[in-house]
Amino acid sequence: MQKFLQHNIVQDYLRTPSAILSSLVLVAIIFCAIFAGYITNQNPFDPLQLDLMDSQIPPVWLEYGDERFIFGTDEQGRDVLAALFYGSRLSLLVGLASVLLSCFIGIGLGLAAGFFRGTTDTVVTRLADLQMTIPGLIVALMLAGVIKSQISMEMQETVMIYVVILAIGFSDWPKYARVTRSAVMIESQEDYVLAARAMGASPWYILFKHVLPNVMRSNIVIATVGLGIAIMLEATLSFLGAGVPVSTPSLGTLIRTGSNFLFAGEWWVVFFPGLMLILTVFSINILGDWLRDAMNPKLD
Amino acid sequence: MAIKLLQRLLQSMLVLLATGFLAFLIMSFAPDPVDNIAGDYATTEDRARIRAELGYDRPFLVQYGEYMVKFVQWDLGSSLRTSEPVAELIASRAPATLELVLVSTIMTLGAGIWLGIYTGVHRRSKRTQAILTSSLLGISMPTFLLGLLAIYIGAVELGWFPASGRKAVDTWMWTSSLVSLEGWRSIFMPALTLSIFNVGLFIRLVRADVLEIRTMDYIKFARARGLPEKTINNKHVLPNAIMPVINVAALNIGVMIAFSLITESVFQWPGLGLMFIQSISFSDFPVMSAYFLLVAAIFIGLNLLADVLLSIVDPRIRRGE
Repeated sequence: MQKFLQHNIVQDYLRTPSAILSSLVLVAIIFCAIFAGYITNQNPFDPLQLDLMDSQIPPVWLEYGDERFIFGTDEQGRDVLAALFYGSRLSLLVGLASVLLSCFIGIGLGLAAGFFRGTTDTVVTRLADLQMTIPGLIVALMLAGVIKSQISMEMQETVMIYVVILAIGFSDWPKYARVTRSAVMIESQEDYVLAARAMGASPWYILFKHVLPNVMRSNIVIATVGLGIAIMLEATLSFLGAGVPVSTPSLGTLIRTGSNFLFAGEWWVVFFPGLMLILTVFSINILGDWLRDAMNPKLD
Repeated sequence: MAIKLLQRLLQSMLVLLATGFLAFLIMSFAPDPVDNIAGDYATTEDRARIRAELGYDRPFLVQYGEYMVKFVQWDLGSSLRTSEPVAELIASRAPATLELVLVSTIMTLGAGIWLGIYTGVHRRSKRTQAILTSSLLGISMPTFLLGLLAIYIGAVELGWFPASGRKAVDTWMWTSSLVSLEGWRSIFMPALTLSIFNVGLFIRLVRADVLEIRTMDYIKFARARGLPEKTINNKHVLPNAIMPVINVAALNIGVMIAFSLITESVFQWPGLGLMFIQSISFSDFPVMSAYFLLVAAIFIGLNLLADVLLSIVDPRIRRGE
């Protein structure tokens, strides 16, 4: 049965051009992000490698373009293309880590609520309800802002990335908890769980061996869409100045610093990181749309 | 009915109390105000006396209770940065945000309903496909990038609109951007930016409604009576498709107020959101927690209102079915 399902999804995938295209784009972006150090000719965040003589060069196809810098340079002589790859590395990393954190908290609490019921269930549901009343953006901004004010400037350089992961991760867990909880409640009534219980299996064994694999499907779909949201949220936080520091920029930070030069006509410093961000999130959303249809889980 | 309503009201109050507790926790991160008042040469006794005078020596929960009572009385403390009362700060910033949200909601509803009905009626046309794909693109586009794009095109390239700021005129009640041409020019791009994310959402919503309504029996009967397609769409599909959308739009106002902080930050629009962003970068805790609690209260209030209205309109919900 498992094999058949896998097979079906592969078949469906091969018949959907938009899914193939978007996953290829994503693979290319991930490749560039991982191997940024090898395919670019400068590390844009090492001040020793920057030359002010190379600053504010437009993209190569415009007048005064330089073929060393295909997408041009910013006001510090930083190669926009290289900054793009290094920036998307950070964006992807923060996005993935925060989605994993949300999944971990959400699925964990959802499993507990659905399996143990009673007080656990009430507490988890109330907590999720409480958090759903406030938009994730404000929760994340608040968390990042409060923690940022409590630590020193030097610490911010290294710690802010984890703070942002924590803030985004904590702002998005209720979705996973809700879906997992209702899925567990349905699965617990199924014959195979009752049979396992009759055979004397321990609750923990049933929970992790039987119930967990069956609630993962819906969670994978939510997590795909959640990844797009997390990357966008990170970019927004960084753009608003409550995100990762300027010394290790993500796409959002690049856009924030670049937007100061928009009025001087240096559109390329903002345009390419922006395009990269849209391309990444758009591809993830298309993939998520397809995955939802293909897996067809009972999402509420 | 009355009992159900009372229950719902009680539930909302509890949620408000809980968010108030979070807001109060945030306040406790602020630097100790006693340091500020007492100065460097104060003795321990002096400090203790000031602490007692200000009421900071009382139990945590008592102070929290006082904080909530003060919130209800609209006494929100004063800003650490400008020492201005937060309530006055909010009152002076609120019109900018409310006007932005109002104009943006009208834009969203207009475009969303029109395009949603179009894509629902012409199900398989090329244009429908294009509209649906661009609505997905709209959802994938971060609001701050849209804002920058709007500034580049509308202000830098074309020069039709101001790049940032708000032009407002004093009216008899508040300072408004909706009474002068300058004001309209300044509000147009921020409102457009704020609405684009939502337009995609509303197109999909209206389209789903239209598709469902068109399978109903009364539409079949109308068609059997020989009514022209246009009359069917205008007289039968449209009114029925719009009702649920209005409900969602009302709930959506809370989301718009929250997300307006991105737009306000891009366009330097002097509303509540910009106030919140500034308070974060200056660690101005009273302003931060007041905004947090205010937005939560608006959300809780709108949810409650929607539930009450729905139970009045729909007897099934009233009877708890």
